[in-house]
Amino acid sequence: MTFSASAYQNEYLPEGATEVHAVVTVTSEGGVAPASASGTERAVVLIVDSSGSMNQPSSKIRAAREALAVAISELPDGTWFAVIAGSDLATPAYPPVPPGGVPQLVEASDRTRSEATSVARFLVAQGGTAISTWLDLALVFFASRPNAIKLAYLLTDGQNQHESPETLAAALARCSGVFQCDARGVGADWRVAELRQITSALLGEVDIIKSPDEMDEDFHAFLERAMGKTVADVRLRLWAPQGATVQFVRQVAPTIEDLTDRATAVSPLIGDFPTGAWAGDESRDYHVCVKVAPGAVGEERLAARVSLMVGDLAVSQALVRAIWTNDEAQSARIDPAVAHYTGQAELAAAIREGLDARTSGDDRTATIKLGRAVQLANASGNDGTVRLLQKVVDVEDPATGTVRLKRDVEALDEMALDTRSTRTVRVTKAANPAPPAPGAGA
Amino acid sequence: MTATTASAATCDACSASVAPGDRFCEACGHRLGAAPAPTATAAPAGGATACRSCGAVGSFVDGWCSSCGLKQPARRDHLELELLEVGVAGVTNKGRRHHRNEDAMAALAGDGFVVAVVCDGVSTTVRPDDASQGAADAAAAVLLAAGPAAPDHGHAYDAARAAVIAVDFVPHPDLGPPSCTYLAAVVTDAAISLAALGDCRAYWVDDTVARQLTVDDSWATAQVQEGLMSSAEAYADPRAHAITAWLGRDADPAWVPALVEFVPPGPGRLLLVSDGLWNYAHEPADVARAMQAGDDLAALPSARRLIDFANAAGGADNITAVIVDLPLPKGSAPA
Repeated sequence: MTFSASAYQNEYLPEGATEVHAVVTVTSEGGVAPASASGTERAVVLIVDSSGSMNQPSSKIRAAREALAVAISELPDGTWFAVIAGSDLATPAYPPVPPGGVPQLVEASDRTRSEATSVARFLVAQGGTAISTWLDLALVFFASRPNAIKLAYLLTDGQNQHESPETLAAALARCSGVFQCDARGVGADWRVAELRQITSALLGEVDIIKSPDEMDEDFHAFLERAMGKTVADVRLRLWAPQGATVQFVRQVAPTIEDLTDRATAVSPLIGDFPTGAWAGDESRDYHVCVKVAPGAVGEERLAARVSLMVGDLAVSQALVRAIWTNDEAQSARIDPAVAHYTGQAELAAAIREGLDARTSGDDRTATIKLGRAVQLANASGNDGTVRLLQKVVDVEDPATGTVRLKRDVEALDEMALDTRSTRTVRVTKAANPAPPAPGAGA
Repeated sequence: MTATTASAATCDACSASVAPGDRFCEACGHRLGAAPAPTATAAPAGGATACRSCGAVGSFVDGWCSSCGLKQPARRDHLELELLEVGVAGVTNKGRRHHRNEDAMAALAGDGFVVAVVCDGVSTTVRPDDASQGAADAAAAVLLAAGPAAPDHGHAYDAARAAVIAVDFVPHPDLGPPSCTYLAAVVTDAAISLAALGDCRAYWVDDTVARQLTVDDSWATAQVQEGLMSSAEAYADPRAHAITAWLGRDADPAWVPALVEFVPPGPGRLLLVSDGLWNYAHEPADVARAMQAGDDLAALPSARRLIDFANAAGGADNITAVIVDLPLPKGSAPA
């Protein structure tokens, strides 16, 4: 598998300018090796909420049992796995831990799949919810296969009620960098911010499962993604010159994820940003913004070197340059990719702020923010987000962002908009630049 | 450990420990103590060069200072050529306001003749520096092979155009494909044969006269030629220097270089220059003055003077000057 990185930017800056923007596209190629054929070890921990609320209605726990059983039956031979039943404490549902023994992952085979499926079909829902215990048990399981690509899937229907936010944060700090975790909320009783906190820390994705009968498909999709991963722990290494400040580093496609605070310092000028495991056919975009000392007209400086690190090996790199010019025609141009993703980030923020304002009863702000979101989503061709927004607002004119808040909004629709607000679309030739925001108070 | 000893043993930027006598922190590149920034003449021995911006020594990666990021001087920022057996020299220079030199020059001596080419990369295109160098080298080679009896400007231009089109490039939304201007000369004592497309200029300068031999393919020239404006009015317009013809993939196939034949009246000097020079010396007499023709200097120092003149005047563009002194020395043919 090979990686390539390219930077898209307008390297020309007007005299005195210091902020350098670039979009770095990282692409992996080389196809997806079949799980059993490659030397890559994969470990999967399936964490299913088995708290009492999963019985209300009981269709939830029944659907979870069935989906889990199907997922287990699909695990390819050789995959290392475990199943955790989560309540106010975490139970190793499979494989069982012998008395006095240590939880260990088991290799998928006809026998283990069949045993695990039987266990899944008898999952009992009772007790409370303390997610930190689930993550900590996953951490112990994963420790038995330290070299594997480690991916967890966490399914819950409620809030993390039986522990403090600090306890969860501490567990996330322990797990961060060890394994990745996707999180799914079933129904409308869970909190988006809580699961997003987990997936942000553990480089996963959060999503909503509106109805229990959708679990099956989602489990299946997770396993497919997991089996596609072939390289673990890929990092973006960013060099910026002496005196420069890294303003932000964000993943902007396929979803927006701010990595700025995730850097591990390698040296005073170099930081590593985690990107998790990669499949053999992925492409992700990163928006990098570095503030450098102003240069003289005619001067050219390297504003950032972005290297893709696999272990200690730089497998590809892209250069972000700064050239100061007095030619306004050159410096006035905004790179289309930078403009597009600036708009997509504003879109995600507008949705978040609009929903927050709506929740707190500030309808005026909610209307402005969600209107702006409609305008941005429409202009950038982000049709998925447009459809989600239409469940929350009545759109009068998408071009100007004129909207009215819907009076009756389904909680599920609002949560779907919230969880999926960070999904972006790639730059296309058809995409228009982000329109200017409507005048304040208009 | 006290504060005073700590400051001597650690980098005050990153606190890494440093050896006595170190001028730069090995960990972060920070300059230590109050040592003066090294100058070009104070470059450390042993081949290690210092960054001219931050002074970090010998730590360049792919041509960039690994401390402050400054692009280190490129070979093409300033180049000189001199054909020692004949009176031919050229200098090309980045100027003071552009980040790279997109001008290119080539000069070759044949049996009793000299060929010289100057090309100026179009800065609103991709990789104009590679376009101009490719064009200059390709044209000079063809002209040398064809000889002076019947200068083969047609094939030379075709070769230059092919070289420009051959430049590998990634299309850019706002920039054109690789492009450059073209000025080629085949020179004997008896005749100067020129082919020009774009706005590089040829001048003849001798003891009594300085005259421009070529006509620019530019907006200003077109306005004047069509009687729409005076020269002064045209050159005051921001569009004055927009070129109306160039070499490149997107060039109109109908554009061909204008051919000029000039019979030198006697001893004198042919100048081929890019617009980075004549921007500051509009009239032929101004160019002669800038070169301080009366000083009777050899070709190379004269070309340097022209570059210095344009840089002193602002150096807004890349500057190139190639000089061919006539008559060519007798028996100057290369083996």
